[in-house]
Amino acid sequence: MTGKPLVKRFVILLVVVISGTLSFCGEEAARNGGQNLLLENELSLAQTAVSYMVINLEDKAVYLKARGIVLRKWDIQRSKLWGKPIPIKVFKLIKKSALSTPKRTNITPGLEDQKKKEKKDGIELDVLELKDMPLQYNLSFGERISVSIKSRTRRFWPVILNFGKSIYWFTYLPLKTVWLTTKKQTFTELELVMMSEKDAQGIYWSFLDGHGTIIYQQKIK
Amino acid sequence: MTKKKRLWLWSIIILTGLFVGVEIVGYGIEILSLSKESSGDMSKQMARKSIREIQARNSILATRLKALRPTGVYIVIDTAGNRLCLMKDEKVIKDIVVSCGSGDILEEPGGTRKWIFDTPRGEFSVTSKLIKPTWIKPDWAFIEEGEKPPLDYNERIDNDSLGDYALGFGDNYFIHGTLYTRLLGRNVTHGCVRVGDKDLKGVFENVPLGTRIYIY
Repeated sequence: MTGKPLVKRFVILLVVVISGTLSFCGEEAARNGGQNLLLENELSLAQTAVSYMVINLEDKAVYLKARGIVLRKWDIQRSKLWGKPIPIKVFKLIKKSALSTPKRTNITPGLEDQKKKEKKDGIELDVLELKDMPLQYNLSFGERISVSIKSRTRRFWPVILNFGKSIYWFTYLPLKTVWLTTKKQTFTELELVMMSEKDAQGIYWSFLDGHGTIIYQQKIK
Repeated sequence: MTKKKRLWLWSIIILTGLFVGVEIVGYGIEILSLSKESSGDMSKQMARKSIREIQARNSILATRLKALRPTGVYIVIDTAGNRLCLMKDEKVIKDIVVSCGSGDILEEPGGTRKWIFDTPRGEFSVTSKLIKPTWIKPDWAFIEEGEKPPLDYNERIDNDSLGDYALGFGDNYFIHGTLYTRLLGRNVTHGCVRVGDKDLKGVFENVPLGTRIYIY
């Protein structure tokens, strides 16, 4: 074996080791940087007396928090993102939209006694409860960022809706991308599939208009 | 094949091709934009700081965040699940089934006043602790029954409805006992949080004035 191939091998090995180290350092810096932005933004929200949401795609969870403590956690079964990655900053929930939104009941004065009798007999109550919340809905955060939430389901209509949503995702979104690119605009759509119907409904119940939200998405897709 | 049919066929082929082409371009733009963003967005933002600097800053931020957390006992109420948790250092001491606001709306007939019976959400603190509490019935309690609110204060006094204990919070709301124990776990109240008397006793004894309450 001559000296030249040995040197060549050594140089190749050196290049591989250096590039590997640099790549690892880059990833480490990015991870710490992401954590830094998450903490900075969460601190700004936790300093107020209002609760806030953290959609953490790395943890696969949606957190409702106040003062830094977790009030409620909902696990995400899977998620997908289309469009520009979401920056780590505080967004305000502008609008919740669903095909059928829950309706409040108007009380008819004087009929409360009747209602109480019904309650004692265990008859269906005319009140707003978790089961009345939609199973599929969209959350708009402005800056062309929207998050759609749904759950695994076997019910007929939600399954049909899920199918429609898949068509929307795989055929309409590429068209929208091309259209907005010609106008030099970007958008982001995030879809979260929750573990259960109750989880999706629970998020709808807990997410209020104006709620401060951080979407943390360190790994893309 | 007639000329017309051929024209139709070609139109369909061209339109399909155009559609597929635009779709491919859309997917291409998506893949390109993702690779661009993921390759450098975060590293650009943090390029000037070393990893150690960032880690040090992160640990400071985490400490500051931890300092905001409530110390000792606090209450968390889930209005959707109708549950009250007595917490200490983020551990559940008691998990109790309660009743929260019904979300119903009451409008004053011929008047302008309107009430929405929601349990308020947010951060509160225990402002009063009452044993054998008396409820001074507000106007809505009479209007709901189809009655006129009385001018005589004594007619508003109700010694039974709030149970044995009450913890005051927010704008005249209470965590209190109930006569309707069968309805615990349902959203039936006018905004207060109803708890079974036995469970409430345990909460009442463990919670000092000023205890933080988180309602969501």
